[in-house]
Amino acid sequence: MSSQVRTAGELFGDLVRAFGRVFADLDALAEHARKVAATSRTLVRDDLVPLREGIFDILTRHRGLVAGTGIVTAPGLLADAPRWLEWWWMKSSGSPEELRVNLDPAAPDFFDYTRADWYATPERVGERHVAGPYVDYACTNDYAVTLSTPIRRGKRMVGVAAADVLVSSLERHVLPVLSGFDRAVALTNADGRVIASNSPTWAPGYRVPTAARTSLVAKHRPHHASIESWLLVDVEAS
Amino acid sequence: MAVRAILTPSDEPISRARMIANRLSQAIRLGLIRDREQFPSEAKLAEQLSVSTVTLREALATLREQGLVTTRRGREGGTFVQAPADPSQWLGQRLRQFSTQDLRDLGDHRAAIAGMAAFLAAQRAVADEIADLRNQVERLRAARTVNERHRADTQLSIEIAAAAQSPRLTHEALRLRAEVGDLLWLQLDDAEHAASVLARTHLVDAIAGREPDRARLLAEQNVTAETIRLLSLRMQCYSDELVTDDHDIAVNGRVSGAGTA
Repeated sequence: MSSQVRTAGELFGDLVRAFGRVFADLDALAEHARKVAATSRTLVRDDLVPLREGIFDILTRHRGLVAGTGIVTAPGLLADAPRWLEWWWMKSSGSPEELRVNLDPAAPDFFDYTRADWYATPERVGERHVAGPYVDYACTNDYAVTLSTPIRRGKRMVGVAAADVLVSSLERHVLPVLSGFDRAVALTNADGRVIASNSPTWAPGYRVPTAARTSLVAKHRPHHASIESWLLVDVEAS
Repeated sequence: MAVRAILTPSDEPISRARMIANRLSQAIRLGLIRDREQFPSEAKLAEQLSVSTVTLREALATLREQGLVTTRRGREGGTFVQAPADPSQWLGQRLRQFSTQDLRDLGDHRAAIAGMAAFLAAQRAVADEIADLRNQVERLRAARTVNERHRADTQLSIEIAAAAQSPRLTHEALRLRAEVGDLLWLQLDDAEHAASVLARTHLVDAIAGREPDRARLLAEQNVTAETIRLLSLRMQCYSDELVTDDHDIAVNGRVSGAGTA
């Protein structure tokens, strides 16, 4: 068991590093966006076009992990669009495609991203966040987690830089490790939602009851808050 | 996003044409596309909607049948919007795309998806998601216009499917909502609206109370009640003689709109 605990620790370490690399690139993108926002008095959508190079770089560099990435603007930042996503996803052909969503508040399929966890939490907390897993019907149309980091101008958040990671991509990193365990274990988020598990009765999306959420990994301190709250729980008896 | 979700390549061309027609007629009905406004060229519009020109042409043909657009030839030609003067007339036009058999079948499909989504959501939803569902019910309660009610209720059904943690059920819920369009909210009086809000409150209570069987039953009952209402409205269309101008098609066992299938 002790060797497995070490492996669990290593697994967390790997995940934290992989997410850390994505976050580092998102921070760079957010910094670029912040500079753009600082240069001009009245910003328009076209001012965000220079960000595309960095966005495409993230898609290419983290191919197989990041399904879509970009920035979204706080309502009112742009003069020619109350809300805006400069958001791209990678087609299977390997070329980036711009995400088109309905940003008209009167439309039945209006996409109000300001209510999404990946936007609202960085706005409230002022820090990086990992949202989900959740059904992302706005962008990937799949089961995903979203990494997001605030873009700040002074104290105000003027948008977020974010990236979608499919749960199915994550499990390719996680399950090879978990399959080496001789007990049923599940990687869950703080709410006990299963991200990956070696047990067929605990598939992704299931919720581990609070009472059963005992972490196998001793308190560890990766340098960002969100993934730290993830748990590796023993679900053998559950 | 929703448009992409309902327009996956796996959808048959015919049903895609019908969905595009529904979206466009809804946009006209809601005034998002104004009366007498000219549509872009077919090639341009097809590109904007991410469909083939063949699919678009079929959709435009349906809109012409419904009298929502006219096409003029020549140098000043193009496709122009013709907004309906009377909304109830528009409801009749929309409803007549469906036979009672279509509506019953659509109701069965919706009940299956909504029931399973509610069942799984009661097992899997976490506190934040349940809080979102409650907020969404409050939004629905406060909604006054057809458009607001349509949006709030659609969002609620999508959020329940998302709380089930199932991309497929969510996709299907979106697709079915696109097919139903705003039919469910047209001519809904305040008492009916209040009853529908109460039914959804009970449903969300069952999800929050971790009662999967009850949640499923309530979700199915809600859809059944809506289906019965649509069926009775559809049957009114027949008795109101709204159907007379489609008599030749009705004889063939199909109704207008479905006739393009």
